[in-house]
Amino acid sequence: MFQYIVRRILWGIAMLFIVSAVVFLIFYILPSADPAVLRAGRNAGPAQIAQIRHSLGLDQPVWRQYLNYMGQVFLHFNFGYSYQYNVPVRQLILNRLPATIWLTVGAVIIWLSVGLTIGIVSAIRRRSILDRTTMTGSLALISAPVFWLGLVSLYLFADDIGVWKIFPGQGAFAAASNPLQKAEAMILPWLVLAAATSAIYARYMRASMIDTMSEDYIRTARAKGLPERTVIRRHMVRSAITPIVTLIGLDVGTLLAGNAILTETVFNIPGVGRLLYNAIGVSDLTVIQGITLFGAFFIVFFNLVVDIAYAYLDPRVRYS
Amino acid sequence: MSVGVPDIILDETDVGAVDLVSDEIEARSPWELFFKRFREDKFAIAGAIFLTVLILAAIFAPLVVKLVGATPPDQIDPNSLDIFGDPTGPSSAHIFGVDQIGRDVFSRVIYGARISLLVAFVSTAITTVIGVFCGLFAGFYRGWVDTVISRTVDAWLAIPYLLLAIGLASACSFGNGCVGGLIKPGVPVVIAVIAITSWTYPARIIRGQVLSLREKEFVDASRSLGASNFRIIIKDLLPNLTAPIIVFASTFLPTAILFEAALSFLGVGVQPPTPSWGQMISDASPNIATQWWYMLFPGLALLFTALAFNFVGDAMTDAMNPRARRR
Amino acid sequence: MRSRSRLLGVLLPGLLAMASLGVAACGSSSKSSSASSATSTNSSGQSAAVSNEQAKFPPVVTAPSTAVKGGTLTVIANGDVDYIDPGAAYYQPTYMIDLAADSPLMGWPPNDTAAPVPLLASGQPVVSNGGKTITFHIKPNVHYSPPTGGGTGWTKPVVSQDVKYAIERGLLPGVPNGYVTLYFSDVNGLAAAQAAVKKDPKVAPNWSGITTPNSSTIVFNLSKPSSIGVIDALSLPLSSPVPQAYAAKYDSQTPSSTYGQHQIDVGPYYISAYSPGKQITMLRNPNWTPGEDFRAAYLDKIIVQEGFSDENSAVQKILTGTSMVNFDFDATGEALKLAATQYPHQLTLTPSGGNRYVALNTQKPPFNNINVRKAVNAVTDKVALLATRGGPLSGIVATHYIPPGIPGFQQAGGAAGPTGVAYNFNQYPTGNMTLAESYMKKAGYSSGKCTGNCTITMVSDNTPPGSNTAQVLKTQLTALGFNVQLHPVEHATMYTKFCSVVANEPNICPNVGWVKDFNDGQAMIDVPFNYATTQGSPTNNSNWPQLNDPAVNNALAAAKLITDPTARAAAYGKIDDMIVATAAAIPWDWDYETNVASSNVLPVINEFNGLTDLAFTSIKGG
Repeated sequence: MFQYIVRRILWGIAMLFIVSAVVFLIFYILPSADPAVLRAGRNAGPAQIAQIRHSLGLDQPVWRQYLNYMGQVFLHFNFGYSYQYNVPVRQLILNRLPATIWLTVGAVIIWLSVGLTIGIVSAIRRRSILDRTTMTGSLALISAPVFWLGLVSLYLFADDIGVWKIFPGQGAFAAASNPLQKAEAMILPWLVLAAATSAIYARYMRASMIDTMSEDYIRTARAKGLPERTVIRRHMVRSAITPIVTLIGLDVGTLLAGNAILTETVFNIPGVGRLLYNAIGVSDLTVIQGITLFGAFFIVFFNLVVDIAYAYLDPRVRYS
Repeated sequence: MSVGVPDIILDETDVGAVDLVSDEIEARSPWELFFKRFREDKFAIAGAIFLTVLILAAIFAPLVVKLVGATPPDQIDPNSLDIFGDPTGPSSAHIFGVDQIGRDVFSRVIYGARISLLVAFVSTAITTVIGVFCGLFAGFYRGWVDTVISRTVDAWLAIPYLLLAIGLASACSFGNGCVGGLIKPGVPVVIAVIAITSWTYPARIIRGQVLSLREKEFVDASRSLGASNFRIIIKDLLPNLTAPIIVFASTFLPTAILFEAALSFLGVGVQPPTPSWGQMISDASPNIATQWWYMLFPGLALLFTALAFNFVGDAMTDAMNPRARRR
Repeated sequence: MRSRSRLLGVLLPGLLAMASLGVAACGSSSKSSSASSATSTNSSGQSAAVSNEQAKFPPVVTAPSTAVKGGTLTVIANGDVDYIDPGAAYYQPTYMIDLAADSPLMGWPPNDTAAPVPLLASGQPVVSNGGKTITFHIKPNVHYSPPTGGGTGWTKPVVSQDVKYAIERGLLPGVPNGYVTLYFSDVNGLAAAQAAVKKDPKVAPNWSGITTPNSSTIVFNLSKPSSIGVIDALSLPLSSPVPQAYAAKYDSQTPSSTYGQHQIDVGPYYISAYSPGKQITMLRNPNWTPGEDFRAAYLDKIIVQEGFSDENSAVQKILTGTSMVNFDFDATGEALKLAATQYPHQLTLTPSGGNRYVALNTQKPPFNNINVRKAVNAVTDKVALLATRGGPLSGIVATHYIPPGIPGFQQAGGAAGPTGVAYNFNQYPTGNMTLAESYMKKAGYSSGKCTGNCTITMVSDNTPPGSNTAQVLKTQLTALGFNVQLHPVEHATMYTKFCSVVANEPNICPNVGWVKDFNDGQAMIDVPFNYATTQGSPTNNSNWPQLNDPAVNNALAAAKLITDPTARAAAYGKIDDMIVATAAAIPWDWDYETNVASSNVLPVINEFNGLTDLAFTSIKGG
């Protein structure tokens, strides 16, 4: 078990390096704007631009820039300064992270509770009307683009522009001042983000449950005379849920890494996804790199947690 | 409607195939079984019909637009804007209304189907090919080839697809594109982004399949007959991979459609003024409170198209799977 | 001379006379219809109606007598300031803040556009030595505020050496000031100072042409008699004092100075907190004495809240809420409709003193051929382009480059523009296909439409309204047979990678324009149409058509030296028409700044800047 964990951690660190190198390379080959000119401002002469380029370290070879950067990150936890705002990148990211965390945590809770429950119930009442309705409905939710769902929900329920003025609308999270207001402002984003994912989880859980149901040990448990509810809870769900666990890790990790960009855009939430999108648009390399590293870290971390949990739940994994 | 994954193992032959009149009992070929099962799923049939209509409409878009009496998708109708330059909604002249600069929304939805369908099919094909290739190599050769490919697949998830998309979009959207003119601006960039970010999924699936297939007896048999690796791959493995490949492709199509829409929504997909459903929704988003029509109709188009693909894909998955319980 | 990344506003003198008569009176169209000096009738008759529409929403430019002290104003913003450091700031919205927090030598009361008045200076400067020496005395007992973000600031009073240092630090690469070399190029010792900076970019150089004989006097020694330009430029935030002993440690940081985040201000307000991309908080400067300068300072607190990317909901929020005004976005489209129809008393329209035009790259085919350029000018439907910005309420169709209110406007032909056959391609606001085709034939396309290699590239903004304007233009050009490749990009990228880089510039840059720095013809048409601009800065070029017309270049060089205002206006008016005759660009808009305010706000618009003046705005009831 210990060996397994150590191996996974080492691989995680290697992945951080690989990912940041790839991002560096992509940015170098395909820049969208010239950061030195951006920094220099208007009416800057070529001499001034060259001077700024030098002070930003952009005239050095790529590999040297990369090594400098990684050195700063790992030795001093210094992610550099944003070209656009001239503020430490670490500060920028940490400022934006809370919004994304709010969004992710709420959405995860909803999609786990709703998705898994529906999956379990649908599996148990297989081929009933309930089952058919939930499975068709879930397909519909998966098929709707999440940004469109967000816009439609705003059109219907936002308290400023909606048909029925129920929930706070766009930009409410940024304007909220206490946790209660923030949670209120997040209700629509949570629902929208969780909608498609809970549908996916419902389907997976259902399939996994059906798989488990046909196993021999379930038959044995029933034959032993255990009440059905205990059979479900202690045997079926526990083993059906194991493959889902890996999925959770991946989803949470990628959301924190900026995958919630569509929801953040539609609802105007000042999160990490939006920051990354803006930074890419203006070639703010340090911010891009910083978010990528943070993001990769989250993905690695959650995958690790999930792998360990999986190994704990399913001993066969440890010896692979 | 699909009922999900395995239950009890059924035989290939179906009891209903018995012809009571004649003496012979004919077994049905796998393809016959496949179509029979597929036909039984009403939603899938509906989906297939919808898709056929959509594909035809996309191919014959100019005709459809003319029949309905709408203006071509690039044409601006100055009478459809009010004095503030704001568009008007559904009317007799424009059945779906006009967009923010006065172009007919119905036309743009029909022409947008071309983009969505083209991107969906081509990117699915390319993604599948790349994924199958890598998965095959990783699963068959194992050893360091497998390690390299598997680790790459792992690491690939952490690369922000947005960076790739925007980077490619900006670098390749000018003049002759990049990679020596291979990736031209617009649709090719979107296809490239989808393929580059998604090849890991089929790779993983195919690798798993190959790993279990290569242990099967018929592979051993071929090998003992002196077949080369290449021959084993082509003759033994690939035919048995058809099912998972088709299953993956049919379930990836709706993902590709939504991916293109998301990229266009963020402004890094198909460039205006080429109509794209995602782009239209993005154009509409500042004004949805008062100009709901050009957010609604492209969105419904996306929803129904993806849904149709999902129904069809689901039914195909079940039909391919011999172990699924039938109604 | 700012290129337009944000809109700016300055009121034209005619409307000024009307509006300063009192409180914002909606529907007072009777007074303002005489402001038709801006809009004589033209062929479509539309301009007359246009000005009446716009004149229904005049801005207030003096504080009403009912203004009281107190209250917090929230300024709703889309983006951030360009630089929080006043030494580098060059955006109109940033000036909204700087006009309230900084005290350059000269300043702009809200109802003044002709010439700046003394602000930190104790009186008008003395110009001597044939116009080559400018002497300023500064007010005594002016003190600095607490620093941004807290801490100990600077307790000594302002001295003239602080003003000298403030200007010198603008030469540092870490303080990227965009206009110091533009306006102060004639001050002696610039070259030596720049060389010193190159050697040591961490220390501000000593600029020998700026001297401080004592702590209350500062003298500028010029090599040429261009004193008017220098005095004007000393009204920009660069000359707001900065003590060297306090700022040097911040200015020595690389790659950029961090003084902005720790700045000390001398205006009636100071920046107490700055969170980039999120919020700027301004409080009353406890060390500013009321009556010290012409600013009133009614508000107690000002908060700039950023991140409102949806302009419509932001405008709606301002109109329906309390104590808010807009920062860096205009009301356009639906938002403008809402304001004009339902909240007319909360909307003000101010001419922005700027233009918008479509730049045609004259240095490569097909637009190196003047007949093709004229054809494209003739086919453009400028009214349709204006519709993408909100229609007649948002601006007037432009017929040349100097906008209403700037000397030279009338001389260049006024609203109708230059007349005569030589300008016939410029006289059809909705376009004229027949005329366009005739020019194409003259260019050698016998069918009247382009044939052969007709691919042209266009790089535009990727957000509305710029993206919409480009798409409408593309449709119009396609009618002439061109195959337009449209490539929308991020705003900053459009300039820094494409349109301002000579080597990369596409055939058409449709979203460019120019906003005046001062009310002078030179500030409007010199930099954007002078080939010297392109030669001086090929990677940051603001002469987007890359126009190289010797007659225009020479005329511009000569006009700079004219000091008599009438002669100057006539000269620049003539040059404006010369530029129109080259058809190097398509002018299509003299636009208006549309500002909105909540119902309990008494906004005062600063005409120089075109945005709300924070030092004169107040809240009803405090």
